[in-house]
Amino acid sequence: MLFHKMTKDAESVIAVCFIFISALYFIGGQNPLLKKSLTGIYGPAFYPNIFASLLLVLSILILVKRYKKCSAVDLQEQNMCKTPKKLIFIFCLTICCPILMSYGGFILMGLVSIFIFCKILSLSTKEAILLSVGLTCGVYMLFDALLKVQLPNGILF
Amino acid sequence: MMSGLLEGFSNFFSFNLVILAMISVLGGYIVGFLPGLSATMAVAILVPLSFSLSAEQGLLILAAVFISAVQGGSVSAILWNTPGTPASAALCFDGYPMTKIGQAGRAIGLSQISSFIGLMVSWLFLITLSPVIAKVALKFGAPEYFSIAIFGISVVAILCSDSLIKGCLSAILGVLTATIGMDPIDGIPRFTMDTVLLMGGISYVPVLIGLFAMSEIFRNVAIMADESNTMAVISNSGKITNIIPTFADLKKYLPNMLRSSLIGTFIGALPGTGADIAAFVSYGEAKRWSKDPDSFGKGNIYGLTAPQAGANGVCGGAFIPMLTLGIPGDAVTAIILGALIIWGLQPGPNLFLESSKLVNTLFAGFFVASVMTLIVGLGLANFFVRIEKLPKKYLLPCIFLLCCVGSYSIQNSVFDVFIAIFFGITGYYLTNYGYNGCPFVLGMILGPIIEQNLRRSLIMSNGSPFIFASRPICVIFLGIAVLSFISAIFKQFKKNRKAVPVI
Repeated sequence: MLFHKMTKDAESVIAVCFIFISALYFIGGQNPLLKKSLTGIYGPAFYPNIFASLLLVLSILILVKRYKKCSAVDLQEQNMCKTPKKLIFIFCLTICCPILMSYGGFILMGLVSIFIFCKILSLSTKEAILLSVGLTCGVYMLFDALLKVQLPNGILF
Repeated sequence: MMSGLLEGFSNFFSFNLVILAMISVLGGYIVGFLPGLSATMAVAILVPLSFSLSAEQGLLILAAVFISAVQGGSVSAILWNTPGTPASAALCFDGYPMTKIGQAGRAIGLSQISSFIGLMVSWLFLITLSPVIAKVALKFGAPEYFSIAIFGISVVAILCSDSLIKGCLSAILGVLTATIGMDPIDGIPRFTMDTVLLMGGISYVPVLIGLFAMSEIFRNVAIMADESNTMAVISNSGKITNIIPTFADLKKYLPNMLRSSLIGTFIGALPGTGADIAAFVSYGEAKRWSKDPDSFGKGNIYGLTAPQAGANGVCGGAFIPMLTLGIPGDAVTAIILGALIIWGLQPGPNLFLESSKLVNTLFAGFFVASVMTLIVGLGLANFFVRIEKLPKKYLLPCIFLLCCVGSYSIQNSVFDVFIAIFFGITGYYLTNYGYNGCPFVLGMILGPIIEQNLRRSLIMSNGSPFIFASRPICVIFLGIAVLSFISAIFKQFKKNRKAVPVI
C-alpha cells in the first residue's frame, strides 16, 4: 500500500530516477579504460564516481524522507502535477521539430511548427498563417542573410 | 588603470558597437519588462546569435541585455504588481502601493535612478577590484582553483534552492552531465554510449536554452492552459507623469541607494547568488535601518529604491569573480562564461593579460550601457506601458523558433536541438518540484574546473589529498565551503523542527 502511494508521489519518482542515473554512471565507470589513468593514480572514472555516489546518497535521503511522510500522512491528494493537454501537444511538437528540421530544413520546419504552435495556443488560422510566415521569414533574414549564421538545410529541400 | 579604461572607451565608441549596445539595451529592457521573460532567458537565447559577432561585440550585447533586463523588470512590478523578473518581485511591495496612490511616475523615476546608482557603484568596484584580484589570482595553482570552484559550488547549492538537498542534487546532476565526453586529463571518452555525437560532450548553450528559455515557454503555456488562472490585469494604461525625480528626493534617498548598491555588489560577487537574493536582502536591510518600518509594504520609497539598487548592484559584482577567477557570480554570468569559452577565451586572471583590450572595452561598454538604460528607462516609460499589452500567445512562438535556431547554430547540429528540448522538458518538471536550474548550470560549468584541478593537484602530490591542507588559500576557501554547508544544514534542521507536524 505504502509502495503504491510512493509510486504516485512525484518526489519519490524523481529520486528513483536519480538513483537510476547514478547506477548508470557506476556501470559506465566499470569500463577498464576508465579505471586506470595514463598520467596519475586516479583514472577518468574516479571523479564521476564521487559525484554519482553523492547523487545516490542524497536520492536515498529524499526517498527516506518521502517514505516517512507517506507513512505518517494519508496523502489523499498526491503531489504529481497534472500536465495540461495543450502542454502535452507542445511537447510533442517540440520533439517533432528537430526531425522536421533534418528532413525539411529550416523554412519548412519554421512554417509548420509555428503554425501548429499558434493553433495549439488557440490563435485564429489567419493569425497563425501570418505569424508563421512572418516569423520564419524574419528569422531567416536575420540569421542567414544578415548575420550569416547557417540555418539547417533538410534532406528533402 | 585609467589608460586602460580610456583605451576601452576609445574602442567602444565605434559606430557598430554603439548601435549594438543601443539595440541590446532596448531589447533587454523590453524582455525584462515583460513578465515571464527573464534576463537569464534573454541572454541564453542571444548567446548563439552573438557567435556571429566578434568576442568584443558579443560580450557587449550580452552584458547590455543583462543590465537592462534587470532594470526593465521594475516597471511592470510598479505599474501592475507583476514583476518582470524574479529580482523585481521585491519592488511590488512598495512600488505598486505607490501606483495605487497616484505616484507611479515618481516610483518609476526613483527606481530607474536607484538602478543607475547600483550599476555605477558595482561598475566602480568592477574596474578597481578586478585587476587587483586578477593579479593575485595569477599566483594560484591547481589546488587553489579547485578550492575556489568548490567554494563556488557550495554557495550555489545552499542559496539557489529552498531545499538544501535539492540544490545539491541539481548541482551534482550538472557536474555529472559535464563529465560526458572526453576525459580532460587522459583524453579517454567517458559515458558516450559509443556514439560520436557525445564524444565532444554536451555543449553548454543548448542546455542553457533548454533550462531557461524552453522550460519558460512550457511554463507560460501551462499558465495559459490553466483556465482557473485568471491573471488579473489592472487597467493602468494612462499616461505616466513626474518621472524625472526631484533633487530633494534624490538627496533624501541617496544614502539608502548607496547602501543597497554596496549590498548588491557584495552579493553579486559571491559565486552562485543572484539579483533576486540581493533585492530581498537590500529590502530587509532598508527596513531594518528605517525609523518607520511599519510603513514598508504601504508605499515606502526606501522599500522601493533599496531592492532596485541592490538588484542592479549585482550586475557589476557578478562580473568580478567571472572575469578574475573564471567562476560565475550568477546564472547570467554562468551563461556569459560559457560563451567566453566557446569564443576561445579562458576566463580568469590570464584574460587580463591576453585580452586586456576586450576587458577594457567591456568595462567601458558596461558604463555606457548603464547610462543608456537610464535614458531608456526614464524616457520611454510611457512607450513600455503600451508594449505590455502585447499578448504572450504571439511572443511564445517567436521565442520557440529562436530557441530552435539558437541551439542548432552552435555546432550546426540537430542533435543540439534535441538536447535543448530534453533539458527544456526536464527543467520544466524539475522546477515544478523545487529543483532549481541555476545550481545545475553552475555545476555543469564548475564541474570540469573542479575535476581538472583536483586531478592535477593529486598528480602534483602523488595522490595525497593533504596538498589542500598545506596551502592557506585552499584552507580558507574549503573552510568557508564546509562552514556554509554546516550552517545550511543547521538552518534546515531548525526550520524542520519549527514546522508544525502534519498528522
